[in-house]
Order: sequence, then structure tokens, then C-alpha cells
Amino acid sequence: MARVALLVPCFTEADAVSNDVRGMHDVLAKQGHHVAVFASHSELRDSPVQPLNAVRRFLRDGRDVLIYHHSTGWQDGGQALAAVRCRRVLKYHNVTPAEFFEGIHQDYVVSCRLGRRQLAAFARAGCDRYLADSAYNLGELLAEGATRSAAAVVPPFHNIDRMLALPPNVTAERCRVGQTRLLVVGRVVPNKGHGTLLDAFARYRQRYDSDSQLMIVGKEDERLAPYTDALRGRAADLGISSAVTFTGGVSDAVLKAYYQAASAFVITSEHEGFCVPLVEAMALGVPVIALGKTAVPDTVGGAGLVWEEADADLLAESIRAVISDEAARTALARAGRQRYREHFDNTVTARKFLGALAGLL
Amino acid sequence: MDDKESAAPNPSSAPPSDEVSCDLRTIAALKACIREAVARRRGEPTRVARPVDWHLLAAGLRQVEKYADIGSGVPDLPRFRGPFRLLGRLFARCVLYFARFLTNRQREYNNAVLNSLRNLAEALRRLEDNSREELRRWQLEPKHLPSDSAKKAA
Repeated sequence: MARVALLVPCFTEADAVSNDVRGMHDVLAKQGHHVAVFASHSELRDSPVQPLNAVRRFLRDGRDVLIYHHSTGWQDGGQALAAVRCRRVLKYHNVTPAEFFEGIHQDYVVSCRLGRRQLAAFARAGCDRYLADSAYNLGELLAEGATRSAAAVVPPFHNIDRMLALPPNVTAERCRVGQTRLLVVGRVVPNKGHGTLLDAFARYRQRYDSDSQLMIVGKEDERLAPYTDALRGRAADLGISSAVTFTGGVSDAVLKAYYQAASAFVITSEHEGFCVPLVEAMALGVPVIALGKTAVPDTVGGAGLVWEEADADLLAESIRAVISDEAARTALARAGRQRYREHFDNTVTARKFLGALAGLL
Repeated sequence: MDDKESAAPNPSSAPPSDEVSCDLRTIAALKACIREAVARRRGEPTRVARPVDWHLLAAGLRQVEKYADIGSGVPDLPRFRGPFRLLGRLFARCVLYFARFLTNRQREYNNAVLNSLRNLAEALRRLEDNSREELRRWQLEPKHLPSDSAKKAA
């Protein structure tokens, strides 16, 4: 059996990249391979992560495999990928374009620019396989010069199974009946387009339901304070401050409760490489309303109300339609669950992942 | 949505395929209805439109301000300790002294652009406030509007 090294810049809790790496690790280990994760930083005390400089000692044979998870600029990781003499696989999760962070924080600008430069270099580096989270990411890889015959779409692994297995929160379920609660989940970063969401929510509140609430669930980063402060300022200008809650990062159980209490999941992100929260919402039967930019249409398919234009009227009207029409809500919830089962369940992803690595392991 | 259904999602039991295609048709029909409803509403004035995010613009300008005065101060060099720091700062001062033929011009350029952007932002903000005030006045007193719009507003 092969030795497989998984490389990721940072391994942490409640993070899509780390969940994907953990999923790949578990699937390969189950197949009997000797798998190890290597990272520059790990925030988990009892994690199986090894330091990056140990990767060259781990990969001894030309038939061993290195899987590099690319989601941000990572100088040391890039050097490790170039230095190894074994089979190489690039898993592309997407890198947010640096322009979103211009004038907000230079660290992000630098690492995103580096990530984009590295994408071009990796795509031309002749890796044995190129795995992309979505058709959108695959398009970016091919545009940068990756070989089509070596490329495949493999959605990311996630911990939705774990969330589904948690006991349902009865109070959260009751909340859904009492009051309209809109939900968005994801880090509070500039590419998520929260401004459009606030505009749409303000319009919905003004026209249809002055008692509705918006929950913005996701970690905030102090370095992005100019953005988060601007969002709070915008909410105040729109007169909706008291109806918008920024929850910060939450545990799986609390996240599940938010999904259960949500009347609809609304996301107006400007740039996504995949968007795991969309899959979470679909799996939990929450109707999805989304702005169809970048990879969002690939992820939602026909199972949600996806609009190409960032139009507050259209989004507000969509929210009204979903809230007021029970048949529509049921159809959206059922179509979402169906899409999750058919395309994004971890067992389906495991099949695609192993299929893409066939001939390599 | 059916509450029981949403409380206990069961990924293993798939609905029949005709039900699924029916759901997809319902969603497509819903989208068409939403588009129609929005088109009908288009004539009405929107009161929450906010095309420019002034807070983000101000935050961006503050960020630019930090770096505008290029070459005007010696960096703290916190990574260096004791005499190395002193030497480092002395060296940096020398470099900045000899580079001032470039940095002085760049500083003047940065400050000129920054001031222009500040003035422009301020003027735009005033313009937006005036427009909003004027729109509000028109809505209160429809007689100021052209005849067709006045009838609608009245």
C-alpha cells in the first residue's frame, strides 16, 4: 500500500479545508494506505498533524503520493511540492482574488496574490492529477494550463453527517414557526457580498415583514475590521441594526440549531470556489436563495432560487415567495435534500475521489 | 416547509423521480413568478437604495493614509534588539536620506491624490444627501413632480 502525504497550510476546527483534508485522510486510511497530514500550523491539540519539514522523510518511494490542498498562498508548501520526487496530486479549493481585500488588510492581499501566482505555477507543473472542488474551479485550473486528461471534479468532504447525527434542537424548530429568520453561514470576509444581503433584507423588512431577523453566522477576523465595521455601519444606515445578528464562530450543535430555526438560507457571495454552507442548508432542508456568481450555480444546481444579478428587489421578492408559499418551501427543501444525497454525500464524494486517483494508488 | 420533514432529514430515503422533477418544475415556475412580481414593482420608488458604501470608502482612505507619507519616518524595526536595532535604524535613516529625491516626490503625489479622493468622496456624499432630501421633498409635495408622476404619487 502507498504512503500518502496530505499537505495543507493550516489544520483547524470548523473549517472547510480542514474537513476536506480530514475526509481524504479517512477514506485513504480505510483503503489501507499509510496516510499522514502535514501542515505549517495546527490549532488542534490532539491532531495527527506533522510538521511540514517531515514530509520529505515520509515520502521515500517514487510510487508514494503527495496531495497538496491549494486554497491560499503558501510559500513553504509550494517549495515542498516542487522538491518531492513522487506522484503529485493538486486539490484545488480556489483562492479568493486579492482585489476583495485591497484597502482592507495587506496580509490577505499578499497571501491571495501569492496563491494565484502559485495556481499558475502548479497548473503547469505537470502534476499527476488535478482535482477541483467544482466545475468552476476546474475551469480555472484548465485556463492556467493544467492537463484536461489528468483533471477531475471532486467535491470537498465535509462534516454534515456529524451535524445530521446530532439530536434536533426542539426550541430552534419552534423558532422557525414563530418568526421569519434568514440565515447566512460563512466567514465574514469581503468576497461574501454581505452588503447586497443587507440591502435585500432591508427591503424585505420594509415591504413585507418588519419583524424578520437576519443571522450572520461565521468567524470574524480582527484584521478585517474595516469591512465588518462597514457592514455594521451599513446595517445602521438601513435602519436594521436591531434585526441583524453577527454570531461569530459557533459549534456544530449551535450551527445545526441555526439551520433548524432558519426560514431560508440566503447567500449573496461574489466569489466562491464551492461553498459548503450551501450543501449544509440543502442537507438540512432549508430553502436556498443565492446569487449565482462563480461556483454557486454548480453547487446549487436547480435545487434553489439562484439569480445572476445582485438585485435587492429580486432577492427580497424571493424571500417573500419562499416564506409565504408552503408548496414552494416544500419543493425547495426536497430538491435540496435530493441534490445533497445524489451529489455531495460523503460516500458519493469518496467514490469520486478514489475514482479520480485510480491508477495512482 | 413541513416541520416534521425538516426536523428529521433522512438522507437515505430518496423521493420518487416524478416528485423530484415536479419539485424542479415548481422551482422554475416560482422563479418566473418572482421575476414578474419584481417587474410589476419596478415603477415604485425605492427608499433603501444605497449605491455607495461610504463606510467602506472611508475605511479604504484611512488605510491609504497610513502609507501616504512614504519616507517621512524611520521604521521601528521591532524584530531587532539593542544595538542591532540602533544600527538598523541608523542604516534605514541613511537609506531614506539618499532616497529622498524619490520619496519626496512620491509623498507629494500620494498626498495630492489622497486629498483629491477625500474631496471627491465628500462632494459625492453631499450630492447623495441632497438627492435624497430632494426626493423626500417631492414625495411629500407631489406638486413639484412632472404631471404624470404627480398623479401617481398623489
